[in-house]
Amino acid sequence: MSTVSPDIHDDEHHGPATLKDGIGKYAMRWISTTNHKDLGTLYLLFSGLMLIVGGILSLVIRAELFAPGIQVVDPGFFNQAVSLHGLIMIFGGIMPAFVGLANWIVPMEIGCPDLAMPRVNNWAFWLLPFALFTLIATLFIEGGPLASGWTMYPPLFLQTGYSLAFTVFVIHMTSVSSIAGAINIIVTILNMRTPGMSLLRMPLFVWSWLVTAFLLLATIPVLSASVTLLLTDGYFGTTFFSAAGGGDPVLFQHIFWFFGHPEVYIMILPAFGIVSMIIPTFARKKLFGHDSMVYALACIALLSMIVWAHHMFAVGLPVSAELFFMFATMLISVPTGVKIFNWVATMWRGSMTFETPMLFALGFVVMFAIGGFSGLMMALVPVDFQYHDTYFIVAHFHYVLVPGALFSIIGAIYYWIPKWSGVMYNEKLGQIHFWWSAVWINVIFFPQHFVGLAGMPRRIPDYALQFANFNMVSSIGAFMFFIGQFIFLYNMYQCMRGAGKKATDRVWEGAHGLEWTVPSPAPYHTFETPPVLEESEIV
Amino acid sequence: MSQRRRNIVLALILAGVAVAVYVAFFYQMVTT
Repeated sequence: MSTVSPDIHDDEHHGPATLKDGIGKYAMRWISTTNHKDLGTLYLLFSGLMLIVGGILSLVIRAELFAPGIQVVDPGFFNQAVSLHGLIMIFGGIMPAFVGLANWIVPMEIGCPDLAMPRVNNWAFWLLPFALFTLIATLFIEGGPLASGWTMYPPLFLQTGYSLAFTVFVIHMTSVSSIAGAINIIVTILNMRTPGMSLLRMPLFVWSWLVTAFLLLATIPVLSASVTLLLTDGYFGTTFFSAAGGGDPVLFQHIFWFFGHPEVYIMILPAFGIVSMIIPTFARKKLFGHDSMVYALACIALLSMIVWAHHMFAVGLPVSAELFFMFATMLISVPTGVKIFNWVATMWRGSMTFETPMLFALGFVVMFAIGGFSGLMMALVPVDFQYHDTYFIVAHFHYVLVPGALFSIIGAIYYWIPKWSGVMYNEKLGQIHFWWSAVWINVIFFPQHFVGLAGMPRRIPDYALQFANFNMVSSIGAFMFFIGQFIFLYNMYQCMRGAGKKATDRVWEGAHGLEWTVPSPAPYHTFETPPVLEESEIV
Repeated sequence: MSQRRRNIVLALILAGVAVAVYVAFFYQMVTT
């Protein structure tokens, strides 16, 4: 059992600098901050910026695909836009957003004053802007950014030009940031819980992040090592991935997806945790099967490390390997099903209300399930041969990542922003934002199933005439979805400047957990003395 | 052991795991 010492961070007993203290002091507060709430805010703002940049790139892609033929960008830049979109959304958008939420919420949910290593936390954050801005800067160097897709497959990636070295450097920086963040979160959760909060009493969001942090620790070093090998192939004459020198390009695919598949769960397990917090609050019931949810998380994480080759069925694996990876992949649907059924059982006969966070959580459950089902379809080897490298795959993973991961992040922000800012967001705008997003996200991605099944390849700027109508629909959906997000930005801006109805400490009638026992907005320093964990606050 | 020391020890162990994964992987690739 762990305890929290009240005497740590005694160097931080000062209020945060505001604009009234001068722009220099205010800037230095944000640059040098070691406060988990400040860093959580920085992570979320940075990820918001990257989601906009990645979103604009997706609009470039959809504008080009609006009609057959080449009309907006040249094919080379189209491939670069696709590649940058993927890397920016994953490493700059989704992952930092979840880390930001962990920064804000994990210490408050386990009743400790800050993360275990606040200075490491600051360093882990500030690596990210340098990394992502370097990646974006490759747009302006000779040859432009990588054009090989976010997967960086050789030999194409090795023909990239100058951006090869820049991209590898960027991956290393984001890797160091992720590993430092993961270590910080694990140490905080294992060592700094308030007395009485045993592991199985921890809220699901904390559990989801504990499991995610271990996944990061186990797989990110593999990504770093594999891109280092790409660097030596590119600049030092080695031939790890070159058949001409005795190497094997397929080897890179194995290594990449050994990281890449757990990465998928790194981007979805925290979403499971968020939804497991929101649904009980608005169903006014305890989460059904708390412990089984924890075991399901651990089970999914373990299985995620033995299914990587389902991304490469089409390269020609031995039948025995294809069978193993097919069955292992299908097995993941069991713990995932446990989670879906537990969420439904939590809502069963609950006194449900449908505020914006609940709408996004429900949208997550329904639309993530669509992405999950199409994933189950492509787990089947013979079926995957048909789907491989088509828009069916694009539809599948976007259902998992947009109405899945992104909706959970948006829902989490709506859920916790009254606690962060001290004021309620505009509920009417929130409802409009949800329904706008829910409609247009399906307009973008549902037709992509059809064109994919009909054989439209992904990562190609031009296509045959029979795909024209669905692509036009998809492009219209993309622009409309993007426009709708400004409703969210406006709503959040109003909260951040303190405009709105004052939030109560509990904020939501059905909310339980230590974060709701502190005032709204949460003070700059919370739980410097370990709180007493009341039975009613165990979620 | 103090809280701070326990945090540092666990963090170093975890960092060791990350470095070990990196080195083991690299070693395996270079020697096969």
